[in-house]
Amino acid sequence: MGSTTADIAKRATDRLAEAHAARERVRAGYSNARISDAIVATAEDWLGDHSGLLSTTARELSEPLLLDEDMIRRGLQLTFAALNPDAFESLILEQAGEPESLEPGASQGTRRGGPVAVVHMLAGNIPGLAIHPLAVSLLARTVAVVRDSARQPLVTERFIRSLREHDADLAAMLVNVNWNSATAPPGDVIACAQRVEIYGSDATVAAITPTVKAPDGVRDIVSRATRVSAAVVAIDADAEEAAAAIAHDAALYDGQGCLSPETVIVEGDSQRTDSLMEAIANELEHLEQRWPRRTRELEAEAARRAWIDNAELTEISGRGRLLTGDRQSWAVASSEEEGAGTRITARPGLRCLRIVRSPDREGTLARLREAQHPLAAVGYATTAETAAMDSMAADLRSTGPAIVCPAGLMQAPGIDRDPDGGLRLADLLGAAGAVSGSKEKE
Amino acid sequence: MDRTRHRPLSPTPAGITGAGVHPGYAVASGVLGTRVNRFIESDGASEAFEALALDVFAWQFENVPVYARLCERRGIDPGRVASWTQIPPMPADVFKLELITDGLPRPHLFTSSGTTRGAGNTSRHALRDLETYRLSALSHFQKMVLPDTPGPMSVLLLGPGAVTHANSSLGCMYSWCMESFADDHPCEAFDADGQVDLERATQWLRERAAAAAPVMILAVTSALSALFDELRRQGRSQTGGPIRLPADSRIVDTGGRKATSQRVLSSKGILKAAWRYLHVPAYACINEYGMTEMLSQLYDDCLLSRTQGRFTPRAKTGPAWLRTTVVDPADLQPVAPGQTGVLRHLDLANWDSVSCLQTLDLGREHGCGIELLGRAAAAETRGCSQLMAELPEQALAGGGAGGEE
Repeated sequence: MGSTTADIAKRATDRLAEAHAARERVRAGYSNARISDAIVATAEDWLGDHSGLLSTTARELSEPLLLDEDMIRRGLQLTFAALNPDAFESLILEQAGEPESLEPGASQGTRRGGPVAVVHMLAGNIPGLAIHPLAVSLLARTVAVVRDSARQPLVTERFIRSLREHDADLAAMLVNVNWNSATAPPGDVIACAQRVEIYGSDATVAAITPTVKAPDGVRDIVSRATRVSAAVVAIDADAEEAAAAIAHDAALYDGQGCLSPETVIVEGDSQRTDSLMEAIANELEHLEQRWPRRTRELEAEAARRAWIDNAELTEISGRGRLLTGDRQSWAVASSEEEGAGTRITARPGLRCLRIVRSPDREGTLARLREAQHPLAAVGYATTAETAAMDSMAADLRSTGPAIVCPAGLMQAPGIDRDPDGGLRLADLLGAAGAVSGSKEKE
Repeated sequence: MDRTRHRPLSPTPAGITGAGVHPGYAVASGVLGTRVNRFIESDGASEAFEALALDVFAWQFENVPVYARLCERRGIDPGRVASWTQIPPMPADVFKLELITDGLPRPHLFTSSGTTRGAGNTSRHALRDLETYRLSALSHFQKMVLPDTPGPMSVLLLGPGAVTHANSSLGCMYSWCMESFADDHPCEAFDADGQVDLERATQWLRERAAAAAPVMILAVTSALSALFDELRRQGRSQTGGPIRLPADSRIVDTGGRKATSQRVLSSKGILKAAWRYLHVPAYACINEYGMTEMLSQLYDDCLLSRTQGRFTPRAKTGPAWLRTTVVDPADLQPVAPGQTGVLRHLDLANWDSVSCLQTLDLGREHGCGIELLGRAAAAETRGCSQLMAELPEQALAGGGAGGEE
């Protein structure tokens, strides 16, 4: 029998009380290194599949998420690999100002910290989405409440459990509460939060936002709504390497996340576009053998069908090309059309990729700027020369994506930035209710 | 591609060489059109559906270049198709492309409103003549809407007509229905801009309520909703109470939120309001499903079912020359009975364009027909979320693939 709303609220209240007590102890006695060491050790447990953490979780998530077990394992490995000592060191140095200001030894009046509590309301398509925000919350000495998707509550719960083996107080600062998404969150959960981060489509975010607003308006509500991603292949890139990297980025999580490229911009002539398209098709076919795509919900499949239908009609009317796998398990389409119809959009994912040609870098940047939604990630493929990579990355950054990275790493974001480009730790330290100044002010 | 394996038309007309104006072409199409018309007139008894469907497919393969290209892309030609179930479906959006390039005059052009898919994104269905459409539309309308042969009816039109909406296939059909089944007291209360003259409509209804002849309302659902809103308003302001239409009155509405941005009642809301404001029972409220791209329609079988003494659950039923299959959008294979999927239609009345149409309309086999569940939200965006799937079910827009205008 499932928990009632009252049960969930009572449990949440009890756990929040424990979390606040743990936070006091962490603030009073934990250095940055102690926190990051515990998190890194936990991540290593996952990466080493300690007690079958990774493999069991991947296996159990495969059915509800309709994703291949090995694909989930790969995705979680990328998530936990980002929790490494270097990443924490850089994060603290770059975003905390004086690292010591976060620690108990900070001189009088200079102590900093995140708000008392932050709530993350997450989407259900990507497992492990909560892990990086949780890790950063701990560094900010902020209690983090997570509402995971009902489809996949396992990763957060198990992360907290495995962290507990290394540090009970840090684990206690992370509270996962799962309430029905169609109802307002339990009162105590929201009452204690100075910041709420909502992940989801534009419609989802719009529906949830009014339910979490503070009566006095003193609460940051951060919308992580629809974003899009693209890959760019420079004229000098090795086609096969680029294709392998982009296909991997597109196939991981079946292209459902905002970091999955939907559009590939190929710089050069149409012959190069064609050869890239074929190379990507080959790679998607290989990935289909490794991670067979599973049929998803009717609405998602219908949206995918509409996309393939449109690409097929474009091809038979002589205005483009469509390559598909056996039983259309993947699809790559190109179009000779220009204009709004070829804008970078957020659909449909599910291993459907659109290839567009750009005659030059200017054309590429223009396309990126015209994307239908804010850009989350832009992956690039160019020669391996550092100067070429730096130059291309700088060009692409000018179009405003949150993440610019080599193709193949689009699904392996670091812990430092959120998908909107925000600085995770710095944002928490500057959030409503953040600790700034003397202890008395807290 | 080896076209010698194509199944020849039966009887084989001489001189067919493919697309283009050729003497044999007209003969072939004439023969095929005659066979289809005969099939419709005989309610599917003149010959086997299978044989006719395969000949229609062969003809379309030869004469609709876009369709031939799609078949070739899928590695299908008439020589490889042994059953009507194997005829490749064309996305209904194909009607946005130039479908026929035979150079023959096609004076009748039907266009969708474009409101379902966005302005400037309309389907166009061009026909050489309207004979098959008229036969198809009227005979199935008669079967499903007038199974009790009520005789001439007083008809209120709350939808397009052939005069006000020259490019509307629905308008054309409604006008034929008016000509064929209306008595001398029709009322048209829907203007060329899609505005409903509610005052005139309600006044006419009050007048007809006092007469003996049954009333038939032909309406787009949005206009019907507006009528019920007006009747409710009149009731509240005590300018008029509920109307009790004569026995055997009926309402035919077609889904789709066209020509108005006002609220549209749900199908259950329509049934309740019809009884409340007009005293028309639910079994006499028939929803039609159609689209510009398809010359045949499906209707709720509630009145037919009652007339025949079987009380099966309300479902949409097409004519003998239309086969509707529910398929999985993932692989386009038929789903198990009762399972939801997207609708594929094989409409022989479309013999002069493309017959096998794949829509994104959701439905499932139900009772003796199909239960229409709306249209897939194919435009739904994705972000780092599919949380919407966990929220209360989204409203689904009604209407056919392109909507019928």
